[in-house]
Parts: sequence; C-alpha cells; structure tokens
Amino acid sequence: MNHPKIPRFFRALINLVVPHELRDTVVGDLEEEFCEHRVPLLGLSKASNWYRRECLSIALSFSKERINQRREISTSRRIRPEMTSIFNDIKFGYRALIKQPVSAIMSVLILSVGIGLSTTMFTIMYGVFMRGLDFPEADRLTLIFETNISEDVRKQNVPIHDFFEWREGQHSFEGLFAWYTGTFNVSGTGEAPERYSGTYVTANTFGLLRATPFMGRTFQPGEDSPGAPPVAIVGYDVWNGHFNGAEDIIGRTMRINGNTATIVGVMEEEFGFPSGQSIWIPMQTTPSDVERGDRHVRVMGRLADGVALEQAEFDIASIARGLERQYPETNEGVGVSFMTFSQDATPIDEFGSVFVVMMAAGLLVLLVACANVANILLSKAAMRTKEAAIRTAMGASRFRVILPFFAESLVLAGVAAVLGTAIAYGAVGAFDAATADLRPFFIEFVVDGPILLYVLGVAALTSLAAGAFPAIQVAKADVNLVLKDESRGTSSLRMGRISKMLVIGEVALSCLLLVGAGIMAKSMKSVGDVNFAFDPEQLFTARIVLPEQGYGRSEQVAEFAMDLTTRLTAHPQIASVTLSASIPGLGGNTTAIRLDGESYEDEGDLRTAARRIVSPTFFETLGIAPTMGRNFETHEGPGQPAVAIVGRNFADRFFPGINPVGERFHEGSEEDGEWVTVVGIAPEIGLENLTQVFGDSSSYYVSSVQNELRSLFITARASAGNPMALAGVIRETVHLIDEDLPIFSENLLTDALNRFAFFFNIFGTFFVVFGVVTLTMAMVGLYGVLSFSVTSRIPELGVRIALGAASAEIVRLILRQGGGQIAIGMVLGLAAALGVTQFMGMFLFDVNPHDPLVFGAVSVVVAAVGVLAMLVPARRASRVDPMVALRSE
Amino acid sequence: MSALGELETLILLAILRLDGETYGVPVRAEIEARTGRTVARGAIYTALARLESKSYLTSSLGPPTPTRGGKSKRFYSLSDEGIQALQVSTRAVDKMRTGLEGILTASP
Repeated sequence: MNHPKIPRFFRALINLVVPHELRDTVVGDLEEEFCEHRVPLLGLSKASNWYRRECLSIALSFSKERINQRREISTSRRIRPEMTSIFNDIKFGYRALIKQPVSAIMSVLILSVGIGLSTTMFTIMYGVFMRGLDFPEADRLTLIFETNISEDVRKQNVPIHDFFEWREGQHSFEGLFAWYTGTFNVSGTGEAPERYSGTYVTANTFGLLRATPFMGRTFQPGEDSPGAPPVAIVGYDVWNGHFNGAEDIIGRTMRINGNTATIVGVMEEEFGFPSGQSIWIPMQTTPSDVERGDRHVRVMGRLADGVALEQAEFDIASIARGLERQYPETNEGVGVSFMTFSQDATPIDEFGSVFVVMMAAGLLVLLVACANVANILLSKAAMRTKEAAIRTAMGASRFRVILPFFAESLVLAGVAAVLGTAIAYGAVGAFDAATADLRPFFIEFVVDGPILLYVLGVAALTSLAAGAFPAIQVAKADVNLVLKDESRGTSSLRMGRISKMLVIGEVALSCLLLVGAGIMAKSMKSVGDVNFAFDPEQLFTARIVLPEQGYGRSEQVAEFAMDLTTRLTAHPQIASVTLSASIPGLGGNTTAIRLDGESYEDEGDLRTAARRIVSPTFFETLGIAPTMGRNFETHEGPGQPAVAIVGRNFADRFFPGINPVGERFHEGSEEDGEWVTVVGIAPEIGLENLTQVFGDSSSYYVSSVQNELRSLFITARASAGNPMALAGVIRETVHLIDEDLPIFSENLLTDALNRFAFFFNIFGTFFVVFGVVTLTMAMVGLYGVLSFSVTSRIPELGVRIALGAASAEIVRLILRQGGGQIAIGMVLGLAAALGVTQFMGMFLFDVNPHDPLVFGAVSVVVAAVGVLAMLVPARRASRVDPMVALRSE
Repeated sequence: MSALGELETLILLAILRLDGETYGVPVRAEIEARTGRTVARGAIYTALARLESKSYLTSSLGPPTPTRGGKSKRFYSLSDEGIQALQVSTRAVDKMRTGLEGILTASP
C-alpha cells in the first residue's frame, strides 16, 4: 500500500522521466526513506517538501543524462530523411511563434489560464463523482437500500431483520455486511476523555471491503455475536492522537460509551469507513433486540465472481417480495435499490447541480480562451496568406501548407498544458485543504494520472480547435486571387467574418459567466451580511453529547443541565451561560405544527417552522430580550403546560394582525398532541434568510426544562477578557460533574458562524474568478480583432480621410463595427444567462436568479469594457495619415 | 574499455564495501559517510544505470516490501569487467601517487 501522503504529482514526474527498469527502484528508495526516516524526523509537511525536492533533482539528473545520450546518437546517426520535412514544418511553426514573442506569450498565458481553470474544475468533479472508493475491486461493492414506491421513498435504511433474511437467502454475493454510526465517548485510557465518531459493523465488514489493518488484526467471525468478548479497532488518528502512537496499543483496553473493549487493531491512516469515522466495534444487535421495522442499518455487499449486478438485484428483490408476503404489516410495498458508494455519499441532489454548473463554467472559460487564441492565430495567418499561396503555387500539398499552422497551435497548447497543470495543481491543493473537514473520507482532490490524461486530451483538442480556423482559411484561399491582389483580397475579408463571430461568442460567454459570478457574489454577500440581532464577539461555544449510559432517563439529563448551568454561572469569568440544541444563530429542526382553529386535509398542508430548544437563560446570554410577553421560567417543568416563545417571522406569518401571546398550536402531525401556548415574541436572531439550508424561516423556541436536551451546545459570555479562556473553565467544570464526558467543537461563536459561510464562499470565489478571467479575455479578443481590422483597412481609411472624412466620423465608423459585435454578443449572452441561472437556485441565498441589478451591472460593465477595448484602435484609425496610406497602395 | 569517472569509481568502491545491502540508498550513504560528500540522488541512479549498460555492474531485483510502497529494491554487484575496470583506474592513480605520499597524506 502506498503511503497516503506521498506527493503523487511528483511521483508521477519520476515515473515519466526515469527509464522503466529503474523506475520501481527509485520510487521505492524514495518512499522507504520518506516513511522510515524523513516523516519521523521532520514531520509530514517538511518530509513532503523533501520528497518534492528529491523528485525534482532526480528528474533533472535523468533529463540531463537523456540529452547527453541523444547528443551522442544524433552525432553518429542523423534523423531519417523522410521525417525531416515534417520536423521542418514544426520547426517552421515554432520559429513563427518565436518571431512574434508578444502574441505567443499572450496566447500561451490565455490558454494556460483556460486549461488550468477547467482542469481544476475537472479535478473537483472527478474527486466528487468518479474517484469512488479506494478499495480493491471497489466496482464489485454495492449499497443496498430499501424503497417504498407507494410512499415515494426511494432510499431508506434497512431493518436489521431484513438484513439477516437477505444474508441467509442470497446467492449472488460473496457476502453482505451492515453498519450504523454513532458517537463514541472514549475514556479509561489514562488520557482525557475524547469524543469520536464511530461505526458499529458486522464482523465481515473489513474482509469484504478488502481493508487491511495498519497494525494488529480486523474482526473475526463471531465477534459480532451477542456475548462475544468486546473488541474495538481504532483509526490511525486515534492511535496517533489519543494514544500518542503507542507501540503496545494492541491488547490495551478502553471504555467506549462506558463499556470496556479490547483494542485488536489499528487501521491505515486513510481508512475512515463509512464517512470519516475513527473507531469500529462489532455490531452485536440481533433481531430480537429491536422491533421489526426499525430501520437503522446500512447494507453493502460484494458481488460474487461472475455475478452481474442485475442478477444480484433480482436475487435480493425476490427475497424482499417473500418478506412482503410474510410480514405485510412492516414490509408492505418495500422494494430494494442498489447504488454505488459515491452515488450515495455525494449528495448529488443538493450539490450536484452546482458542480455541473461549475464544470460547465470551467469549460466555457476554456472555450473563450480557445476562441481568443484562434483569433490571434487568424490575424497572423491573414498576413501569411500570401506566403501560403506561394507555397501552394510552388506545388506544396495542402497538408504541407496548413501543417505549420497546426504546429504553431500545438506548440502553444503544449506549453499552456504544462503551465495550466501547474495552475490546477495550486488551485486543487488549496481546494483540497479548504474542504478537508467537510467532505467524506474517500473524496480527495489531487492532480494525478486521470487528471493529467484530461489535460492531455484538452490540450490536443485546444490545439486542433485553435489551429483549425487559420488552417482552413489559408487552405481555402484562392491562390490566384491572393497572388494578384495585394492585401485586400476576398480571403482576408472572409477571415474577418470568422473573427467577428469569435468575438461575438466571447462576449456572449463572458456575459453568461459574469452574470453567474455576479449572482454568486451577491449571494455570498448576503451570507456574510446577515445581521445578528446579538453580538457574537464575546461568546464562546462548546458541545457535549450525553450518552445513554448514565443518562438514560430524562431526569438525569435535566439534572446534568441544571448542575452545569449553576456551576458555570457561579464562575467569576462567566457572565452568563445558556444551553441550546444548536449553535445560536444557526440551525433548528423543521417541525410540522397545527395551529389552533385550523384544520388540515392532508399532512402536506401542515404548517412548518424551525424548532429550537434553548435553556431559559438563552436570550439573556445573547443579550436580547423578548419583544413582547415573557421569558421561560426555570420552574416551568415537564409537568406544567407547554410554552413557547416565537420568532418575529413566526408571529407575522401565523398570527398576522393579532397578539400571538396566549395563542396555541400542536407540535407534530398528530391531532391530539399537547397544546403549546405562546408566551412571548423574540426578535429573529440569525441566518433565517438562508431558507434553503434551514428549511424554514419561521422559528420558535421551546424550553430545555420541558424538552430533553441531550446533544447540547454550551454558549457562555465572558465577563471580562478573552472569551477563549472559557475553554478551560468549561472543560474543568464539566469534568467535575462527569469525568468521562468529552467536550468538542470548542469555538468562539464568531468563528463557528464564519466557518459555516466558508464553504459557500469557495464556490462563489470560483465563479468570480471565472467571470473576471473571461471578461479580460473577451476584451483582449475584441481589441485584437479591431486593431487588426484597422491595420488592414488603412488604405481605405486613408481614402476616406483624403476625401474629407472628419476624424470623429472615422472613430464612429470603427466603434460601429465593434459595437455591433458587442451588442449581438451581449444579447445572446444575457438570454443564455436567464436560462442558466435557474440551475444555480439551490446555492443562492436571498437572491433572485434573475436579479435585474446583476443583469444590469453586467451589461454596463461588458459594454464599458468593450468600448474601452475599441477606443485605442479607433483613435489610431482616426490618425491615419492619408498620404502614407495612399502611398502604400 | 572506457575509463571510469570519479563518481563511477566511488560507486563501484562503495558497492564492493557494502555487503549485500547494495542498492541506491546505502550506496549513497556509504559515499557520504566515507568521503563526507553528498551526491545528488539522481546522479547515483544515472551512474548506476550507465555502469550497468557498460556491463561493469549486474543487478537483480529483491522482494517488494510494504514500506517501499510495494516496490522492489534493485541490488547491484560488480561483474568481472567491473572489477578489472576498477583495478585499471585505481592502479593508474596509485602509480601516479607513488613518491608523493608526503604531500598527499599531509593534512592541508
């Protein structure tokens, strides 16, 4: 197994440069030294730098060696004669580029940015959708969910009963395994207790995944039967972090949620099945422990050799039909559906459209880049039409005449591919680091083999596309006409038309991308601009989850909350403290409610609102007061009538025009639920305009004294000094009450809120970059075309001026020519944007996808930039000296 | 038989000194330990390849090991030609040294 942190790109470089008989040796030597000496000695990041440096130096040595060898060969044996002519043509193209370094450098830069950005997007897409699980023969693994078509459920977890029935009855899998995840509080190891996300798995899970341990062993058959001695496997991070990399970890014990288990293995660093978990224990649940119909496991299977997916689907589906007949009560209408791990783990429904839009945007940038370079090559080709005509007249084949043009674009695209890869390498690295905490463990973003293949393909296509325009034009040119006519021949006129179309396309595409960028930017701003009704500066938050062991009953949970609040409030460094189910300002559970006096035909007609459980000191700690009515009282316990404080939006929406205090509603879809009485109104406090994320903009609060609060955020306001110092205070206080209870997500509230906005900002930033880049390219393109057009029209302009045209008229003439292209491009681009921005809806907050302001601003900017690009050539045209112009005729 | 370069001589000598563990990493380490000279890794590999192509060295692949990412080591040993070449080049140096010991062994 390769070390996961080896910089792959550099390893790929070695593979490229070193002759194959030495390749393994060199890579192996480097890897050995990297793992055994450098990482322990220098730490991972310095070791990686060392690795990169070594790779470069080795690559350099071998390249030198190759050049030396070639020199020896070429002095002894010349290149075969039939090859020389084509080489000459390529050399010819290359020299043509060198002769005009400015346009060559510009083309290369434009293309590199295009290739770089589209490659970055491709890498991200590839990582999200295509890379999949990094297990051997991962394509033989499939997830199995249950469906219920009549209830429109297309994917749900599986009851353990059905899993066992499937396992018994199936004939198409090497095996089926199941798991569910949970919070594991680890203690009893001599270290401070810590909380991890862990997985309960059937014992065959590791074997079927083909996952091998880093140390020790994985689970053995039977370890998941009830009563088997409790064992656990820990992840590399737990071993390295919690156990400080202890060599003798195998055989040690730890308490997981209060139960002692023996550690039998440590997994490899990159293993985090199924979504970044770091501890695994056998799932000892049996069907008799839970009710049939309690669906809490996920199921995956590895197909047996030679069995097709369809066969397996048929197999499981027929077992499911049997269960349907046998247990109609729970299994009526229950079918099965198969999907791959990436299909399931990537929330395609939610984010998919965004990735697709981003990829499309990346390709558009590349397209614009291509159009631009084609244009530059076209204008150069126009000047060389005559040269090509002469070559044709002298008997050169069409192929030989156009070859130098392709050679030129090939050289450009080749250099651009290298630079573009470097751009992508940087951008992808940044993206990978930025999203490290947010994505499932199997998704990674690296520039490696498949990506380089993409670059190669794109570069080839680019050079063909960019080279084709000039090549075709030159090949089509009528030799006679060109040779007779000096420079104003029909050929150059026709070229002008293609150039114009390219510019129109560029303007249209940059309009499209800029509108996208503008809308994303506006949406980002609305995330960042949210006005909190409270000041998050002095607030500190931390999180605790109370496990079933020790806190099985609600009274125990309530007692803990009371005890913790009392102790913390008494601490001199804390001014005020509150407990809540989510971070203040974020979150809330969308809940169905029934208003008193309203009746609902159908469950779909029920009202919904975001429900937030908070302790009575919530508003006081945030420094806001209910605007009407009263606060929760500490003595309003579970026995008393249920009360709620509703948010401003809630009040306006459900009780318009009346005083909501005293009004009642039911929670949930049941008609005979307990009445909840509104006792107060609070201002809206958070990101309530982000409705797509939180489902509902109307929120209400219920008291933690009346509702069990098991997974809780502690929010404390510092009485003085740095709120970060509260971390220690909270930690100590919690451990005084329960020393096994881990604390996590310790943060300043400001940081927690900012981190939330971050993910959305990444995508927004990409869009803005795309927009600006394409606009720049469009401007360069427009300038180039107009400027060339002015040059080729100098004689004509000279005649006009000689006949008395004023310079303002000449400027107008040129502006009209360019203005037409800009106008057509803008109309096309804006129309396309109207359609495309629909797809972005999911990622927009508080922004109309057809926002007139954005559309207006983009029109103005594009028009202004366009005029700017036209002015320089237009002024040049107006200064044409008629004498000079006419003399050149 | 072409003459050996200095680095090539050092590498052949290092391989003779090392018993068994004669792949790239230890060869480089041996030269560094004895002469205090750090040789670029790439230079070692290219020189090894060159010496093998001149058939002064023969090589064989060891078993792949997990710490090397499943890659094998390539072990080198001197062929008869290699030993001859080394004899020729060291003998030449020895002959030239004769009579100059006083200067050459004095510490600078």
